[in-house]
Amino acid sequence: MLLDKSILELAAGLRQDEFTSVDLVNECYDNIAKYNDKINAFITILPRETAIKHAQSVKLTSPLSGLPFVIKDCFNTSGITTTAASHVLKNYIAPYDATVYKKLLTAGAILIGKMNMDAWGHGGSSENTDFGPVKNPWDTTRVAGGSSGGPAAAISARMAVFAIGEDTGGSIRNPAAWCNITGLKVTYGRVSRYGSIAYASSFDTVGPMAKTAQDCAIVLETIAGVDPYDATSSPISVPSYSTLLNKKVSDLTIGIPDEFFQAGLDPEVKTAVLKVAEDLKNAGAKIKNLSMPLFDYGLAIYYLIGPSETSSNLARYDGIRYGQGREFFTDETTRRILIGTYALSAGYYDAYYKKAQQVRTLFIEEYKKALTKCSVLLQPITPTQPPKIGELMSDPLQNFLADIYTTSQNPIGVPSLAFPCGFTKTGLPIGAQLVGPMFSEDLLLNIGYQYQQLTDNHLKSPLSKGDLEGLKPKL
Amino acid sequence: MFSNVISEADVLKVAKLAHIKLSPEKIVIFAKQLEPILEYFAKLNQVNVEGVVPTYQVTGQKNILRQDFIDTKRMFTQAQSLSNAPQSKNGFFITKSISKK
Repeated sequence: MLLDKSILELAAGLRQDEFTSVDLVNECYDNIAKYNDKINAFITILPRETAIKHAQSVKLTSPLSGLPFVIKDCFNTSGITTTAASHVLKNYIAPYDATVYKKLLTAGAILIGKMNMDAWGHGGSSENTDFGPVKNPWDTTRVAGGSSGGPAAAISARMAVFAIGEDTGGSIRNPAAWCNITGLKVTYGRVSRYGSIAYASSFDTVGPMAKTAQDCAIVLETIAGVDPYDATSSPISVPSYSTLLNKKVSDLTIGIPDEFFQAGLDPEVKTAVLKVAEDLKNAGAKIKNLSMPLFDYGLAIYYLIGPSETSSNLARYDGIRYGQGREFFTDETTRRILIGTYALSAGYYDAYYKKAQQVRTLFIEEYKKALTKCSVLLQPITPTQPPKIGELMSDPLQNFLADIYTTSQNPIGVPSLAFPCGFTKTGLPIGAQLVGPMFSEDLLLNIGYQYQQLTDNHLKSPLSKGDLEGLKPKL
Repeated sequence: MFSNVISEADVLKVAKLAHIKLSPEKIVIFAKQLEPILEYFAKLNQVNVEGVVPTYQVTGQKNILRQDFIDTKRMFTQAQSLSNAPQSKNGFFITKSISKK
């Protein structure tokens, strides 16, 4: 299958006339036709004819030219519905383009769909959506993870070459782990947020989701950089990430923070994540155990500041200028708005919101300190294997606790690379994350690439397995 | 601090502040669901934050300014501005009246 190939292989194949962009587009749409009914990854599928026309006229000006991609439905795309998976924006057609989308169009990439997600990014299972839950391509009775579940499931089931997700507290990394793909949560400010529908403005990051660290590097060097339309975007120059992948890991120290591997972590997940350290050690890296006692407060910081910021961001949805009224928010979104409004309201502001921002300061110091003792931190992504559909939705606090390892980085701003690191005995994917200092995407992608030369977990797709009831093609 | 567990009256008040209408049944449910969440936040009381400056953003950037000019590339036409409005008339958005006659 062409879609098993890496971006570099595809770019070379297009240039050597081994296949055409139209062939790629057709393969994506064939897989969508076969499997999307089973996994519900898309909210909007662009017409095949539109994509083919685009593919026929595309000029090969960049490594992404002629490659079909999908984006989470939180990015504004002019002329195409943008819903954030909420009925509030059911009929909303953006009059402008998100910067990330514009950059990819300029690079010659071909948009084929807008993807399902937890509404407004509120969730870790892509069940908090008004368009039906996304199902895991490895086992369609289970969740795909979230909130960028649609993009992750689509890459996993080979419906596009790469995807753009958004990560506020794990939304790229959690579904990457559960769907067996690679995803990068960038440093805050590395990629413009302009045109990305805001969840929590001081946490939100836009990043690539793809099959490999190398693919993520190529997408990142296209989408990163300062943007005059996003005052929080960073003026720091963008390295050519894909040329910096070859350095060996032998000079590196991988830090293992004890607090991330305690009770509550599924034993099979723990073993698989620690195996990454073992593999990197065999490749010459040093391993260092260390302690991050403030880890325990990360989730509380996140779930005070995130909802506070979202209650403010979502205040704009008044049903007057665009969209439907506030009665269309789901229960999960309503809960987050209520928590945020409560934490920001007179009498509670100092005790909740301000306090969380103060502990955030200490937490930032803790990460800085930990990252002076090692080059990067190895952490799990999810405490459990992908739950059954419906399991997480019944208990709101338990639902929050599922994000414990991935809400730790966004208040800090540091980048984190999520990648496949093995499978459970029952054949479900497991992911690990490597967390580095601010703007260390080059280092994270370098280690990710080196690790993916040692292992083949990332090459496995649910289609190659072929024996899954959920994904058997309809006859 | 954090000692008051959220009451149904609190939920109603907060919902009003957030312009969200809740049925009486939903108020009961949300009060019950928010209680353990707010209790979980009490964890933060264990941390001494005396004299700690809050962090509101992590970019390290200050005062990002732009030229004071009209960027026509970012301007919408009146038709574009109104294109998603549920109701409009004579080039205006229609809203509920906020003043009593």
